[in-house]
Amino acid sequence: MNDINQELERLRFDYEEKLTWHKAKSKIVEKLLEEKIRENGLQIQTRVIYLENMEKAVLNILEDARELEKNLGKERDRIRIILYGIGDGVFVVDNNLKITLWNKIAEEISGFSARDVLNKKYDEILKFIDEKTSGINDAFIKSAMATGQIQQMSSHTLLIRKDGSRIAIADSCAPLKNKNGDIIGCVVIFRDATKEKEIDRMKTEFVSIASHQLRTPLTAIKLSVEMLADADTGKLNAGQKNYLNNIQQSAQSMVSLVNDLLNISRLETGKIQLNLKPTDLKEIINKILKNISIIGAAHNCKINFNAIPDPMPEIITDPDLIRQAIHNLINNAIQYSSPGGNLIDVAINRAEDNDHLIISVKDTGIGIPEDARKRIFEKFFRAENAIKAKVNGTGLGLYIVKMIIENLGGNVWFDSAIGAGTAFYIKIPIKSPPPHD
Amino acid sequence: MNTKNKILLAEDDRAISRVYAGGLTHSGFEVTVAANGAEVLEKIRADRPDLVLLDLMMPIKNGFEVLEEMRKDNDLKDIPVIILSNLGQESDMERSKALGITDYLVKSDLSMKELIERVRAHFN
Repeated sequence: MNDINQELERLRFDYEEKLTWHKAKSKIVEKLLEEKIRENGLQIQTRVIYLENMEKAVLNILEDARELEKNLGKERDRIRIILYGIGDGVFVVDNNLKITLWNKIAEEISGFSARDVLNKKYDEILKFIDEKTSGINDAFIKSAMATGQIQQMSSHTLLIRKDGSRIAIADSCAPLKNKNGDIIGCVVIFRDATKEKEIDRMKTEFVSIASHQLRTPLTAIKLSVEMLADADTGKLNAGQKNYLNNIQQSAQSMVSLVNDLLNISRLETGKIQLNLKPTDLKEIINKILKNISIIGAAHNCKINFNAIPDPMPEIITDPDLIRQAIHNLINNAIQYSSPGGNLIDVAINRAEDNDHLIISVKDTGIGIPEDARKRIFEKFFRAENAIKAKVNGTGLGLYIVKMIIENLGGNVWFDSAIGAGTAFYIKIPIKSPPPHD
Repeated sequence: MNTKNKILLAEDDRAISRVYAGGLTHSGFEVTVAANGAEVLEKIRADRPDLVLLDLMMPIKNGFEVLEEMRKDNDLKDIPVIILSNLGQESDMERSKALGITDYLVKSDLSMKELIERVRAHFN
């Protein structure tokens, strides 16, 4: 009996111990759980607050983005309205040469509506042609896209309107670039140039008519002077001869001016018919030098002509025009020579590309001042030192040279140093016919 | 017995006309003047000159029209003509040569001396 009680007692003790231990453990677990729950709760709360903040931030950003989009939209609309409303024709072409904007004036000038042209490649609908050759001339667009620089339309560009008629247009094409500087298209601006071409033509025609009209009285003056100077009409005293001389010189100045003006008006209207034929430059220059030798001597100038390429290539050009241009350069070299002796060197050389000849006229004269260099080829422009040198000039000589050489498909440039001299260079093609403007 | 050679001078500018006429008369020619194309034809028919100095730019009828009418008229077609032109345009030269002229002179390059030389050369 005692054993059983003892066993019971032991079991009870065990049980109570276990119970206490369990209770304690429960309490700990409970505590741990409580803490865990509390922790999680805090974390969740923190998380929730964090997420709530994030949500607010995102909503703000969304709102800013919408605001930005609205502004950009407004901005884009504003630009479109401006482009559309510009008083000139405007169209925009993308990288694939498709038209993406076509404004009202473009419609009016061309006759094509936006619907006709939008999203089509511009060269399918718009034909820009050269007035002289009637060939397609939209190089200005392709050039702007390729070089990334603004290109001016050539001055003889015509656009074929929807109804087939032609209209003279002018202006330019500017490339559009993105942030990285890549070309993504271009914007072309053009206007109806009919009126300005008409005005230009009338101006040139006026000069031409006026110059023609002037020839007759000038001829009469020259003839009368000739008769007065003739002994048969009566002998003249020294004073009379003097005044007569004055009249003769003045009349000759006028004749030169009139001839220059007529020349220019013909060159400008392109009315000059180029008389292209095989030309002996050497002979032309020799003739000029012979004719100008008296004036050259009077100005104390020694003129050398050499450095001729051997063999001299036969060149195809207009002999009258090239003679005029070279004559003007040599005459300038003489007229603007420094007081005292002067050396003028005329030479012909082959250009590096072998397709051109370079004619150079180098002098040791007064030179062209820095501030005059940009304007020296302008019509009627004379540099200050040229005027001070008391040379009777019209300011047309170099303009004529430039017009002639450009008509012949070449170009003209110069180097100069004040007091040391000037060198002018003319480069002309040997055989190719001059390209159109 | 030398009758003077008769020249008809067709030139609409009075100043030039006076100088040419004076110089030619002084050199021994008999000179009649006409100031427009119609007058030229009238005087050619009336006087039968030995030479016509013909300006191209004239009122009423210009030099080309006068030339054309002369060539169509049997009485006038053999009268020699020297053109006095204001310009040296190739096209004008071609056109007048086609109508049969003796010489083509450009007034602005022409001195009195040279004119007289050319006229004398023609008659010799």
